[in-house]
Amino acid sequence: MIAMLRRLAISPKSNLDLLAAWVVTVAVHTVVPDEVILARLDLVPWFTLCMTLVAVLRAQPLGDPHHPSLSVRRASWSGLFGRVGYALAPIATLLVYDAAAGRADPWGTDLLTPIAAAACLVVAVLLTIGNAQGLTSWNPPGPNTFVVWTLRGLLFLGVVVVLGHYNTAPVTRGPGATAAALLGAQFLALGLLPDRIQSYRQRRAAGRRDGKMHNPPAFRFLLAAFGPSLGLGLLIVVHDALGMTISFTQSTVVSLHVFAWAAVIWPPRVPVAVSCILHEVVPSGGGDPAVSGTKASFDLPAKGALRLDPLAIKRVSILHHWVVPVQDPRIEDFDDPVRLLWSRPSLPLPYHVLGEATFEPDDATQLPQWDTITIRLDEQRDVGRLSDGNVQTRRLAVLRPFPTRGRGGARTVRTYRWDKRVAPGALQVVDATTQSIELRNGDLLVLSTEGVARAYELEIAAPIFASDELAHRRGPHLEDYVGVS
Amino acid sequence: MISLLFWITAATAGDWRLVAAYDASAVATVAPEEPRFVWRPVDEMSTSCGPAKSPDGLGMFEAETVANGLAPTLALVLERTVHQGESASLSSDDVRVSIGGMSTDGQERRVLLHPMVEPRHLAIEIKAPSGTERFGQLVRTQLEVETCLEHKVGRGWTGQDAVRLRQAFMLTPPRTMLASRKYFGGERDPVPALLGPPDACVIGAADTTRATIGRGEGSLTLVPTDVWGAALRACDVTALTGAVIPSTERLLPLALTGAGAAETRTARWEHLEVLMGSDVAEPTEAQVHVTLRYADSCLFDGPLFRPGQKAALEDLLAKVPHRYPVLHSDLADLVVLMVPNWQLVEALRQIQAPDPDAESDLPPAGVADAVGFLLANPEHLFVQVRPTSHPSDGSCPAPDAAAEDAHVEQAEVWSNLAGVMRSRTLGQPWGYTVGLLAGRSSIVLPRAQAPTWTQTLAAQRGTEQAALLICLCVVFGVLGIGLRRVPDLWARIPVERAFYWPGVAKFVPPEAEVGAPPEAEG
Repeated sequence: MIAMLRRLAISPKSNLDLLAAWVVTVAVHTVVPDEVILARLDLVPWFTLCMTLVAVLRAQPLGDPHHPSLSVRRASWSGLFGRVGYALAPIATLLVYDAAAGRADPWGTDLLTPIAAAACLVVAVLLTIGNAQGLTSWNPPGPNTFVVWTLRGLLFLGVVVVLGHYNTAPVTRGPGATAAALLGAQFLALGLLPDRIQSYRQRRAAGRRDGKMHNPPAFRFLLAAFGPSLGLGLLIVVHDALGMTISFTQSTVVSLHVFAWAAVIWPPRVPVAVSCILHEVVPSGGGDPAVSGTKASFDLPAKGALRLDPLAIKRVSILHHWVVPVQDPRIEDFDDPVRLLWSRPSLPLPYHVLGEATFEPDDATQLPQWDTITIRLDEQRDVGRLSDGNVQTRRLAVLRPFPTRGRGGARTVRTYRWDKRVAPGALQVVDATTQSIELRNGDLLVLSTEGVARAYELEIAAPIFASDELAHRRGPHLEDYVGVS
Repeated sequence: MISLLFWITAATAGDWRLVAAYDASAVATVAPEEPRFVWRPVDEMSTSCGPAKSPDGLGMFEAETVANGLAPTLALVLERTVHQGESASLSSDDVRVSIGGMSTDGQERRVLLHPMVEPRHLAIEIKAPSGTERFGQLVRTQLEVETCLEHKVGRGWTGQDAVRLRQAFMLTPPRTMLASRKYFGGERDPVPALLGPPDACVIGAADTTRATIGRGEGSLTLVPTDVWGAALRACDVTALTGAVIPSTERLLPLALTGAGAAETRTARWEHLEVLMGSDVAEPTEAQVHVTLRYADSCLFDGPLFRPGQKAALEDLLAKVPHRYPVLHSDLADLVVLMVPNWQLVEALRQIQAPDPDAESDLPPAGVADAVGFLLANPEHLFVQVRPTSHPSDGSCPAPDAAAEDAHVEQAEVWSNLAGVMRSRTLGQPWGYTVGLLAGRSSIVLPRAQAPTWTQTLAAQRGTEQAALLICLCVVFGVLGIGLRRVPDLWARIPVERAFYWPGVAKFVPPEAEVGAPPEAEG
């Protein structure tokens, strides 16, 4: 039950971009004038707009990406042009569809066919410019890119032309079967356009680890082509069965349908690691009220102690970069069984000064998460250590001002007898029995020895999606984590 | 939750739903148009009944007032949800628009309103067999007077008692009325204004016994000769065949969003048949019965005179229903109900007044614009439509007081289409007036050019709706996060203590505060 609720909560959270896009379309649809093409009653222009938003937010290749052993080229301007090309692709599809249906363009002229051809050309040019983004160096022999893309383009445009040609219904009616099929074609287009023939050649040349030949993931293409179409067709059938007239008012349902399918076909990417920053902080005030020098009860704080309140700290402009990997419960050999060309670039050591630190999968849903770092302590630490004949008192604590509630029935804790009890999870003290500690954004890590302390505030920053990005990063050094001496 | 549901959905009763409610005059000012509508009475009616004079004191017909935006007008657009192929229409028997509320003494009151109606074109045929000729002449005189009064003041005849009828047709001013009767303030009962000049004729020979002079020509206001000089011409071939009226440009133009220009509404001659009869050769008043047929349906069958101590002639024209204007779009058939401001002001005054029958020319307290008041307080508005159509079976309803009372009671429980406007939880006045599912519907304005999208947006409050949706999402998001973190307000914050925190600058007091060191002695 808890796992199910957590899964339900995770889904909107991880698809917040699509959810926000849907809210925007719901708000916008109220003010779209009836006379503009967006408000056409067959809803094709409307879901084309939604597909444009999907292209900007989510469009990824449906086929397998480049070989994972290779580093990709980063070309930001090229990538931008490519993204614009993806966004314009659904619009070009709409123009071709309308031209095939013999409709006039939005300006009322008969120039829709040349406009559609020009739009396709613009998309092709943009994609060509955007080709530099994500390019890899290995180009094994195989199917020719130009030939394959020409065939793909002709086949795709042919399908769209046929759909438009057989769409004889006037646009004053709701969407029909051809409109539903066009939606699937647009999904397929957004999955095909970022796809590289070079990637297919690489994977075919590399082969699989089990010795079998590489096969393209046909299911993803079939799902993209027919899933949204059948869903929209079903919506239309149900609507007709209820005897309701489809108008532009129902555009909110159609846009929800589009964004929901986008979330299914292009689920949110799971990062391989997350950049974290440890900010050194000091108390910005405080100090326990000193008691008199006379004997006092153990229920009173010690005289002269400085207090670190997590809500009253200041950063001292010293920070430490920390890359923490994200553990994915998926089996990589099963998901992508391509034979590696060479050993993988080693991921940065996920070790903190305390031990191994990773974003472990959610214990209830077993889904990857990058909110909580789990540090498995490499040794059993105690508050005291005897070395070289000296007794050294050390203390490691993690302060969390506002812990997550609802995590079992843990008891409240406190450090000293004069402290008030705090909520479970608010204070984690490392002692001889501690095996792991958890860190969340904003937590304070306090390391103290013999009454001298340093504190670090954790900031969980940007996720890193490509493994090869990690190769260019400086790995963590033990010196980065200032030990307390 | 119910109000939220109403806000999202749309109220539907039977085949109809409310898709727009707005002030037509205010919306028209968003994209003003040169007023061109002028009331042009039918020439033949002017010849037979005398000149049309418009409501006394106002100087113009109510249709002109509405067309030129000279007074607020509540416009309610009903959309037919079921398409059965046949033309949709609603008559005054099918719709009840009323205002209700609690009076100052705590009583629930309801005042029926009369939206503007299409003019009638009646080809009246009176069949009086031998022995009932004198009663036929009585009926003819009655119908001539009533149809001529419709022609003269541009208001539909609905029947009432004598006092109220005289007031409604401006024959006597309200008792407390001031010299100016502008905007009809103080008039007791609402009267349906016509959307164009009516026409009527009598099948057969014209009454040549009437005087052809003295039909009110000499006066700008209504005088007794306007009533008693009334006569109708004999119908020509066009009227006899029930043909479409060619000059429909006389009607007040009504334009629909999305249409190029105002739709030319069709009007048609309709046959009103009055069949007299008696079982005896020389009948008395009580022995005469009458059958009234109109547009292939029988409206009445019963004694011509109402029984009682003082026998009164049945008001036959009052039984003929008025029709509301119908417009056709690509998607649906729409019926527009337009209620002039004065009816709303008077109805609100009657609801609030301690004595509803007391007449007054003062508006109700706190109400300057009754249409605006009603749109801001839609809980006072009731728009009820007969749930299912009632095809005529050809039988004639007999006069039955109990049946009429039952009909009124039945009408009271018709579903209120304006209930969807009552949700003040979220949507008032920042969102769609009529709910999310009808918010983008077309509107109708009394003008030649179709309403612009800006006007439609203003009428439906579309911009406010968009802002509301965005704001709601932000508010719900903030609320969700905020509520989840409310316990943090009283959470105990863990603290950590140490004797020394590296990095904390040592506090050095300013030199002035340090002071000079004490000098050593000796």
